[in-house]
Amino acid sequence: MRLGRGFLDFWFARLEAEPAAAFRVTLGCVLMFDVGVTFLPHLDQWFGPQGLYEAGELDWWLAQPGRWSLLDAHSDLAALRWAAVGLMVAAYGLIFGLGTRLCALAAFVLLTSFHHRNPNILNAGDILLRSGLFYLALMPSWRAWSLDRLLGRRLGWHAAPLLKAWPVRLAQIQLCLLYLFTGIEKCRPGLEGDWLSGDAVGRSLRFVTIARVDWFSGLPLWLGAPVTWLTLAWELAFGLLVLWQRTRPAALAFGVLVHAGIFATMEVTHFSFTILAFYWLFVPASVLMDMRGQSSNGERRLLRVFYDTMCPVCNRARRTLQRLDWLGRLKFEDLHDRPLCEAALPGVTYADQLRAMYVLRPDGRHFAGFDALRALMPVLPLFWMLWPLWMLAWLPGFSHLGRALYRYIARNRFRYASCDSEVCSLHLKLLAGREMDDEVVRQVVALHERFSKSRPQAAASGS
Amino acid sequence: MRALHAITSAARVLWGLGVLAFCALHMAALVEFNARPIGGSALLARVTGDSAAEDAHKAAAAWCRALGCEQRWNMFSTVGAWSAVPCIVILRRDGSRTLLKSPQHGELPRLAPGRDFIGAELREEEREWGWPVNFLNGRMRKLENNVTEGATGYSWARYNYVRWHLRNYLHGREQEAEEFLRVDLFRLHVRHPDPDGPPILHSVEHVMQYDERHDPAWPRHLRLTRVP
Repeated sequence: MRLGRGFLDFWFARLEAEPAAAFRVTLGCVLMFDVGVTFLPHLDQWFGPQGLYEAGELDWWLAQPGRWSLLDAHSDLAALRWAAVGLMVAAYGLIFGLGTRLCALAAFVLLTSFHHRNPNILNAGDILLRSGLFYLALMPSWRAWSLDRLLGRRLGWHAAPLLKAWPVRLAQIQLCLLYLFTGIEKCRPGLEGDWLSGDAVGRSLRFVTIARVDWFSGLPLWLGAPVTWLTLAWELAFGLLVLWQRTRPAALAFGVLVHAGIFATMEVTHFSFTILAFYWLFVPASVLMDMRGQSSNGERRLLRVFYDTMCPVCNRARRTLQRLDWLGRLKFEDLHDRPLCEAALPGVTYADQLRAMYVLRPDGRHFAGFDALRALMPVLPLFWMLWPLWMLAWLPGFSHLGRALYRYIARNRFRYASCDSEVCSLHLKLLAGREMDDEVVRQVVALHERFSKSRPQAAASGS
Repeated sequence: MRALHAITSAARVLWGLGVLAFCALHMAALVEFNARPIGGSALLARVTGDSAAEDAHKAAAAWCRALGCEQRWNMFSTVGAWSAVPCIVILRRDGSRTLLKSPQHGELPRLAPGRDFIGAELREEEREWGWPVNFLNGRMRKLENNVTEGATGYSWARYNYVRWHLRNYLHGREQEAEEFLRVDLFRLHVRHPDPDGPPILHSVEHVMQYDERHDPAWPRHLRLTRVP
């Protein structure tokens, strides 16, 4: 019974629409680039009746079961131009979410028509893009981040920003199957053993017709072996890694780094961006809402940061975060305000908060220490630019290192904090390397009372 | 009211079953299409028999083609140490040769005049191959990959490729066709670099002669082939 319930939930539960909207916008951008840069300048040569394939030359290929194209070889140049314009319009429609479902369907039909008109210029990214458009046509991705939704509200039609899971699941499964079969193909016996031998990454960087430049061709093959094996293992395990919530962020972060690396070093048209579009479907809607700063119902979303106002290191960190908070997504709270903290973070003790900074997300989840810093990265635009750091923070080795470093710094604040009062020095020494028992907490409370009396304004503002 | 509720519920259940059936078919088609080249078809044949397995593959392939999902995800499964690049050589009456290639390739060596189609110097001597910056040339590269490394079933792609290049070359200078003796397509084998060296143009292989008399799409008034 539970299995049946779980099965039905997997396919028919209502999911928040933000990930599908992000998927839609990204695919729209990729389509716009693909058509604008790689199709339009070469329309006649790639697809014209007097181009690479004369009228009727591919009829035998189009006659295969399942193949179809609105642009068969008899279409003239004017029809091709109109079709390309239609694709561009569909791309914009997807980006801005106007006529979303129709644009997704039109984009799928027109792009497939172009692809079936000349299959010899297609890369894996092209097939993935049209697969993505197919899944998008099945999803009501207009239910978030779209002009369709805005216009609907103006007309009095309020649709919940939710969608049934099944088209999202199909797209997610497509991605998992992609990685699984890629990994299996790479392990097949009888091949040159590039992947199992560890040479593949090194050899790829020497691929004259694909690698962008020759900067890395001088590196020995063994240097790329760890990355080769790690990539292979990750591809084979991707489906399981994203199934389990604990390993999902690391699996996705590793994938972002892999595909960014591929794009930086190899000419594979838009493959990297297209596959990363699918990643949005695995990102929790709450993270996307945090990035946007707004819930589905239009409410403002702020992350609350609980920090020690008596600690100069913490105050400096708070000032830095305030400077980085370009979009105004953070609200700072004093952890010594016990009624506030106990209401906001039930189950988190005073001692816990004295050990580390806490961040409370609008969805109710809270994080401490390094995890708290990591939770802030989606709302700080600097990390959108320094996204490799953001992704590295999720990888197992780096996150363990980050936590250890945070704990060390937190315990040894007194070594490099410049205290301007006896209260501050006493406070930091209390926190240094000791168990936070009731006696320590009592002393901290007493110190805070002295601190508040000596500097009531400073204590209130946390400076 | 009750009847309406019952009809709505029944419609919802039917819709749900339809969705599940669609999802199941789609995933089965994807798995069959991708698993076949790696032994999946043999496994299926053992369970259902050869004929049923073949029918299943045809159905899966048709489904994947119709929905735009027909792709084997075997990119970079073999990387190898070689690339093949196409090169069209036009031999003229005066013995000189014109090489037609896409701009993404480095400079090709100058060929000494002579009747020989590609020149002894290319066959006997390995030459350094210029590494172009590969940016926004993915489609051309894929086309040339299919022309040079595709199976024999891609011979039609080669004819089109040569014709397309010749048409572009002769645009505005059709009178040059009078000087042509023959046109050939060659495959240049480029060895990827070692850590301490550049990529090398290792060898040249004749793929086919382009005879416009066998190409119904070539303009009849433009003769290119004068020697077999």
